[in-house]
Amino acid sequence: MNPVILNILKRVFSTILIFFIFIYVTVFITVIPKDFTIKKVDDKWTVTYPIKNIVQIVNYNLKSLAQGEYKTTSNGKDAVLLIKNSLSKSIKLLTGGLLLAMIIGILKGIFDSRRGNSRDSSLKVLLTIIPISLPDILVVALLQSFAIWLIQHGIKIFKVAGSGTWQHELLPIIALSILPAAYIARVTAMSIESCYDKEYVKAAIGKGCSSRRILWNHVMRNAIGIIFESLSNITSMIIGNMMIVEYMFSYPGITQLLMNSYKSYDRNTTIVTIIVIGIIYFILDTLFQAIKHVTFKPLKEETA
Amino acid sequence: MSLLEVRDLKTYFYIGNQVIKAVDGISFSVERNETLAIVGESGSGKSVTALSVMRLINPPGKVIEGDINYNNVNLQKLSEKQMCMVRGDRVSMIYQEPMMSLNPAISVGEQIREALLIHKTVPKSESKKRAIQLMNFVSIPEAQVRYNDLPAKFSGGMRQRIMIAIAIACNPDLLIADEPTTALDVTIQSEIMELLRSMKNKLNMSMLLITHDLGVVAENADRVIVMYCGKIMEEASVQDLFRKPMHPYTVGLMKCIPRIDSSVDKLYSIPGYIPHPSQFPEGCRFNDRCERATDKCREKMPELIEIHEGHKVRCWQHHD
Amino acid sequence: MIKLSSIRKWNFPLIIGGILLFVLLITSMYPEKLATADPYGKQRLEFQVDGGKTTFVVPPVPPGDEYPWGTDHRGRDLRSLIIYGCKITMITAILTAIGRLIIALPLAIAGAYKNKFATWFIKQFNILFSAFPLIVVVLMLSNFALFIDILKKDNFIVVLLLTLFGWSKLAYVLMEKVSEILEQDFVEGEIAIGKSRLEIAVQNVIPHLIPSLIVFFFLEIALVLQTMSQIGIFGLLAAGGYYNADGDLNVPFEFDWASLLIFTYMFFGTDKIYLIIYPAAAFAASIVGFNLFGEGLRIEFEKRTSRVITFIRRIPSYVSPLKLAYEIKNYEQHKKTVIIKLACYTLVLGIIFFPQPPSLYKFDSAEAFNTIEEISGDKYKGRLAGSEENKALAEYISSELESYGVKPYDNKYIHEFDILKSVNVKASTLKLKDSFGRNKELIFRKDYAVASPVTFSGEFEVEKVEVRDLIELNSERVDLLMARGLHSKVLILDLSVPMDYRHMTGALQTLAIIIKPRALLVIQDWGFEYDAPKHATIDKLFQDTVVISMSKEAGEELLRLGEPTIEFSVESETIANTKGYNVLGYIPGTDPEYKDDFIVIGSRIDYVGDDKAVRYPGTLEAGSVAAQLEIAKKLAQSEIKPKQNIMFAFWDGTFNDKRGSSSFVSKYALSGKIKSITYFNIGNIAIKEDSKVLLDTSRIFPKNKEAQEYIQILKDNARAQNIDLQYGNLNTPVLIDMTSRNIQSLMVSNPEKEPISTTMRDNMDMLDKKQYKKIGQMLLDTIVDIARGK
Repeated sequence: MNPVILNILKRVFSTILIFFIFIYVTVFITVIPKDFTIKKVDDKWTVTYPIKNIVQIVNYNLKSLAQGEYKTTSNGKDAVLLIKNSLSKSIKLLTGGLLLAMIIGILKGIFDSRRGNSRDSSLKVLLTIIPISLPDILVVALLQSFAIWLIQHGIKIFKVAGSGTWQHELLPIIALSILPAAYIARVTAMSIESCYDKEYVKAAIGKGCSSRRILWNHVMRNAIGIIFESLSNITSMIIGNMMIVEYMFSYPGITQLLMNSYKSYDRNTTIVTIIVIGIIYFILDTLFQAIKHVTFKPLKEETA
Repeated sequence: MSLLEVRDLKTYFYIGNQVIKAVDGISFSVERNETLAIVGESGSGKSVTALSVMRLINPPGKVIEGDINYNNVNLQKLSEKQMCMVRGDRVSMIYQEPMMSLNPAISVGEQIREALLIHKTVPKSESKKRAIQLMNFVSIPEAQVRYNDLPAKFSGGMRQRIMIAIAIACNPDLLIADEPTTALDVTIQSEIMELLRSMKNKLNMSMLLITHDLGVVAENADRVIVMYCGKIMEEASVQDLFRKPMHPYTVGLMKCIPRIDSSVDKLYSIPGYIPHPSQFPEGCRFNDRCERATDKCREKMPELIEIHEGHKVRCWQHHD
Repeated sequence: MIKLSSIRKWNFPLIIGGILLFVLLITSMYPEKLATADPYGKQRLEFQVDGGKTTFVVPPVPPGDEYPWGTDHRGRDLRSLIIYGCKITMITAILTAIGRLIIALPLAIAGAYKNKFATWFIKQFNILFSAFPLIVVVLMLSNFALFIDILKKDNFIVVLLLTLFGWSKLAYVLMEKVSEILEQDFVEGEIAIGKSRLEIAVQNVIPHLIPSLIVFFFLEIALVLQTMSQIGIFGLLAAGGYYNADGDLNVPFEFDWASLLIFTYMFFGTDKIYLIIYPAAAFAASIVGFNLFGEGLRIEFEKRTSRVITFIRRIPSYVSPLKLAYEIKNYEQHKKTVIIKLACYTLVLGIIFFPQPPSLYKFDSAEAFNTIEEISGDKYKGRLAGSEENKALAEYISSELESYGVKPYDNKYIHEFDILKSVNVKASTLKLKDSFGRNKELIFRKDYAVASPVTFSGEFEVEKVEVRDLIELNSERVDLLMARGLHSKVLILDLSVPMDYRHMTGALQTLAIIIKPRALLVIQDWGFEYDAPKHATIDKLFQDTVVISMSKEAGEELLRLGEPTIEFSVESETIANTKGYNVLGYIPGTDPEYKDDFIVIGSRIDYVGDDKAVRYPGTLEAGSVAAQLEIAKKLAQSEIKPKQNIMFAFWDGTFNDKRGSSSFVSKYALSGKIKSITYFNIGNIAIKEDSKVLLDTSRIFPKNKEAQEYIQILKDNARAQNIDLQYGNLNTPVLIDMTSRNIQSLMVSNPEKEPISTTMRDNMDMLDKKQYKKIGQMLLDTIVDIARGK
């Protein structure tokens, strides 16, 4: 069988396996009773809940979920509809945020990098490190203050909380894009700089290539692969960011649904939302991996 | 009028708080249709000379002083844009590591074509054809098919040929070859040099050949410059250099080459080590390794003086 | 002159990062020096009337003059909170980073050596806990009883969770780095000459890895801090807690920065955004600091000629004592170095072991113990408020004050006030007889307590009533109830199970108003190893019913017996329409500006009275009185002239409805005669069971600069006496009176694990004499320092 196809099959299989483990672990963590602990009873250490029981509970939950018990929430609403709605909102947020992050990030990264030009000034390094060091809560809080300030002065473009119109989505998308953009900028700058150190760049200059040509035809072509490889680091970061953004903007996305169902002890909905978030992650990750393979492949052969 | 005239070139590198005088005041010229070889050990400054001519010296290095005139145009005074037009078109360079000098992500044909497109040597529609022609010119088999292959699919010798193809794509007047064969097998070496020689003849090119291999010099160069520690120690025609080497350093280099007609127990090597570029000795830079060094050699740097016609040397022994 | 060009060569990230880290270090080590207020002081609702206009100050207070960064929603000064919280936040982050490193490193090395399992494990774990957001994991597991039991402190739980579930990214990165090192050509060379993999690892990999490890360590701390900031927003670290007066960890301790974010959800999108911004900015500063420093180190390590690295490499030789010894031996040659080194050592040792100056005035504990013996002795018969004995006690105290030279306040030492009623339940018996004639005698105050101060005895039938029968009544149900003839019985009501408190009060009201049984046995969820405190609430709801509260254990036994009869008696003493006697003495202040401002130190002199057959010495309470007397004596005799008036208050009637302290407040504070009071309440100090001393400063406004200084003085003196002073939430009835707009109070007391105060065990055996002396000295020094205007 064609080794490429075999490889792909292997990957698909392991992803599916991981996915199932993920589901199991999710149910496990959600279902495990809160007062599980080990106490000393009559001088012997015993668990308050025998592990066997816990496993049984987990399996039972899994079964009931599979049988469709997740369809209603604990207060009787249609869970599927709820999940669909919040999912679509989150996806809007994610796509907008990621796209914006990539555009801003790559542009800033190009701008930040030395492009083989100026002398190594560690001052510039500051500019790349500080943006990625800002906690997202600060970013969101500042954005909200800014928006409120604008509103107070009569400029009503942004709406600060809730959802429903594009105005509501604008600020969250911006907020979501900032940290990934900073990260992408950093990776871009670093990969560009590492490419500029390569011999073929010098050879290209020797050929008479203008610096623009060097950047776009030679360097970026190689840098893109590196950038996409590190994009998979972003996926987990972006989900964490999404939680914060949705929470602080009261944006009814899927992570909000997760938090709410958790707070109201709605176990099934909680489990399902976590799984849906996990699916988002897996899809994003696979997407990035695929892109990386397409752009990065040629470089692998170089070392052959 | 010489094709390339370099006067008193100084290129220094500033690393940490040290100043490394890689090229410390050399002058030479390359005539049309001539092959000038620059010979020296690693660290003598020969590659830096080549890069300086091409204005490829980046910080922490800098060309401090000197004129580099190509066809009476001072290359140092050109804007970067103008220099780009010179590079690859009028003056080309090939490098030591063909492995590294080709972009691994772009097909070889496209890389050759790029040279043509930048300098608008041929109209775009013709460029691919021309690139294939060039590949044939440098004897790459099945050029049509291999046009689309990535560099990784070629052997070292093939890659060097591709580099040569790129370098000559626009019919440059001067080709700078920086150790073109050092990284290749001996058999390939001779093929490549053969190719370069035929290029030179067919295209009426001059060549600045940088090497440490005296054998290559003997076979290919018209005139030779011997560099040591950033300075020219001796300059002569090939015949003069090999028949009557004057500078002790040159003599030493010649002695290093084992002769087929003598058997020795121990191979000769010049005693001592090349000094660290930030710590050149006082006076003549070779004095701590020279068998014939005198006090004068240790105090004062000799000038480069023409002893016979076309034969210059920088050595107190030969000045009087 | 520093050349401009050489400045460009400076490693800015390292320098700036280093500065930031240094600031964090200083803030962690010396928060008291930097913060203006105690982090527990709370701004309460207050209003100011200014010529017809009333301004309210309600927490959260926005940033302003008094509170530079505003207050949190509880009224605590945000800036002080952030400063004090620095240490624990940093420790949490650093511990997590270390934990992650410990797990990640061996796995990473194994993985780089192509160990299939390690690589697979790292990869899959990474995927698993990236898909499952780390925040959510921590959220769900942070309330896990297992972790709480093992780790107790909430921050350690966070460390554990973040370590267990967050190590994989680091492992991944480390694995790549180690692979990179292994792929270098020199390794192949090493293998070629026959070195084993272990040798290569140790000799080559580790040294090359160490710089990267150090860099990653700092970067990882930054990452952990980022995650912590996110967790804080979701309020995962349990919301706002403290040690309660029992010394138990109720809800964990919090003012680490993440916890400051917990209640901010209420203020998203409003103008109170400063609540989030300041803690978030603190996080930002620390994250930036660690990131910059890590990156700066990386840049430095990659430099070929790095002065920083050379300096670091030489540190061991700078510090080596052997080298110093050698240099001293060859003193002539190394004069300068030796002098510098010795000076450094002395400086460092001096800071660490800074000698404390001895106390100016010695706290005479022998005297105090005598006083304690006197007060808790038979003579005062348990010091019941309103009794003649208490009058005598008040007279004793006032004569003591007079002998010291303390002036009487308002021209008299003894301040009388009215007491409506004082009760003392002195004895009781309770016997259960089941239908088989078996007897069970319950122990007063261990199995049950009497909440009605009556004198009473009898034998009765018992019947159990259910809460659900007693609530949601209509006339039909009332008739049903009355038909049962409960009015003449003794009823049992089980309130020990969790229930809606409205149901509970409803049931009790039904019993009190409609049914009115002879007696009521209420089973409540209590049980003590020794006995119940005597001061436990006297019932006020029931008029003619005798209320008996039973411990859960006894109650269960009672219920098991079915419907027994009970035989019980109560004997109590009631003193009505009598007088209470506060004793107030003071040392006048010298500064006319402060003539209406008082510092008041107080303790309670009354107690619960003796039982019929049991003495209640109330030693601990007597201890606070004795300490206060000693302080008054030393202060008065010291001839120190304080700036403000310092008053010594001895409260009577503190167990009654209208307390002595309340009467004082209405007479002097509310009337305006006294403008402001800073009140120190001395609680029960030096209990044998616990050496921890609790200080409650939550009733002091953070903006009250003077009071904040007093707190600082107290803390310094605690340190000087080697006392473990911690924050706790303490309550005592006197504080209810002594907390208002112009009265701010703080209290010092020992926590009690099992109730001791107002039990029989509250006697001399319970008093930790050594600790008492230390605490007494601490208090004395504090008051002296305040008086001297330190």
